[in-house]
Amino acid sequence: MTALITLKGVNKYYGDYHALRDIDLTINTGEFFSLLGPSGCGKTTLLRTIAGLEDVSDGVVMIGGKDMRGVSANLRPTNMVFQSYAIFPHLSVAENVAFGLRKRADLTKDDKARMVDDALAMVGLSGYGKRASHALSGGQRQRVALARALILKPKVLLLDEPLSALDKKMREQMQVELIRLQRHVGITFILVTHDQEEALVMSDRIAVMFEGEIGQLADPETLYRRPNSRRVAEFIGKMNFLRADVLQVGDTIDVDVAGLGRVSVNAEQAPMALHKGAAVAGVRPETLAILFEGETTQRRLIDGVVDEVVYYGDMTYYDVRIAGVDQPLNIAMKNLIGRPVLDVGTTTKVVWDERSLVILA
Amino acid sequence: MSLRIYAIAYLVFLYAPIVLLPIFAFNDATIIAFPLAGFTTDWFGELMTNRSLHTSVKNSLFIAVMTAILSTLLGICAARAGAMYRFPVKAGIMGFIMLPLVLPEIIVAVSLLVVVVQIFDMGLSNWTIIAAHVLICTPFCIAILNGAFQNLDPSIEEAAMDLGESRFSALPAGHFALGHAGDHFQHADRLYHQRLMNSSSRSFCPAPARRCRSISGG
Repeated sequence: MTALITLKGVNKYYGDYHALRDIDLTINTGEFFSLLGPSGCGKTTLLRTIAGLEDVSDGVVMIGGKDMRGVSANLRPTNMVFQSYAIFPHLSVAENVAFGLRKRADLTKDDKARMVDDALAMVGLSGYGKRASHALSGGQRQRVALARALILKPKVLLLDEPLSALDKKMREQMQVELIRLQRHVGITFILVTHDQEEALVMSDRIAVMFEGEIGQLADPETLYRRPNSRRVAEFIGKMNFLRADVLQVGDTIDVDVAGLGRVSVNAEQAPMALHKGAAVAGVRPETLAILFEGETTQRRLIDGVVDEVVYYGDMTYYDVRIAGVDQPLNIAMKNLIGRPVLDVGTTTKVVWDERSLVILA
Repeated sequence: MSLRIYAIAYLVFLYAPIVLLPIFAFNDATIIAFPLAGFTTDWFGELMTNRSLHTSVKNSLFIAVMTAILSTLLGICAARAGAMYRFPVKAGIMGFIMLPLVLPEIIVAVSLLVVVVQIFDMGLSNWTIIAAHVLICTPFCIAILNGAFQNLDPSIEEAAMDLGESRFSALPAGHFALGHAGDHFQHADRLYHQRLMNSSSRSFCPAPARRCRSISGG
């Protein structure tokens, strides 16, 4: 793994507004990297500073070891797929794809035509070259934008929420295609998205951003299982939070968790520094379970009452009240053969395990 | 049904005067009035030989073309700035530029005459007429282009830059896209030229006055 992009102490101000705060970041060659965060967190601004469409107020952006200060967008080894795709409406599909080759005097007309055909084939649009670009569907525009950027063989492909305008089915299909494409071309992809699921599915590493800062930078599994703060835990997936009291911090951590009682967890279940006293314990809905009739478990059990049932077809989400906790616990259950969907008010037993807890200050 | 009658009546009122013109072209009288006096083709001969008429047509064409070019150029710059950028006292500046749109043209005309003749102490010429026309026409141009620029995706220009064009060479990509932005713009464009023709042919004081003079002097 070699570093391709390095950001050091990057700050961006719009007047009084501090859009990026001291961003330090390294992105490796060949990596599929995602910038994830709620709208207004600075993820698009960060992408645009890498593209050269936005100047940094302070700090350094290096690409391939070269300082990019004063290097405009047209001279950087990056290409971008815009959220709106920005397909030139007055040009055909082939002309759009060939746009970046216009100034390449070293290529003959035939070379360019062949490159356009290859690029269109790569995104699954062979034979679409002569079409007018305004006659394309959303998914096809997306592919044209991809081909137009990839034909220049950039070191980095920047994708600004490229799937947000597509419907769910199309989006899931394009996610898989983008991963395959990235492996095929071997170019570093940087994806901006507000969709946590999309980031988890596609990325090698994810930087979660809040208010111009990187909250956590990790691979998808670490991010999901060991969020390092409450807001990361809340932003990524669903998480139940329980009041907790840290009793002792050492090789293992002793915690008194509301509703569950006293448990001992190992140090990696506490990703942020803990002190004795008040904290929260987080637990994901799918790591809890309802014990249905006829099922047995070696795990710990606690009594509860079903408060709410949300049926999703493949899954059912239950809210279950347990003693000593204000908020009911959200529990995700697979609708396996023989499992009934419980009614509201059913008394039940909740299966839990201290290994699935994450303790946060 | 009543709407159809209205539409027909509207067209008759709008085009009847135009239909009458060719009839009077063959009328053997110097005043345009009924009853018709007799048939003649003399006016067509006159058209070929009347040099003052030729001069005024030439002047009108020159003024119209120059006005169109200048006001479109100024309008593009102002509309682009207004729609795509933020700057201090933008609302005030844009409002000020658009002012001639709402002021009665006769007031603009008289005040321009005072400014040009008394304050700047310049003679009246085709160029002062052009300047006055630009003042009136630029707001029309801005009003129409503003809508088109607002519909234009700012990413288009950025995409051109990202694909190797410099900041200035990327502009035409955006503007070409703008020109092809669809029916809305084309419609607006037509509307603009219509209004332009109206404003130069109708009631704009210095222009007809000047034109009369150039006819008599030419």
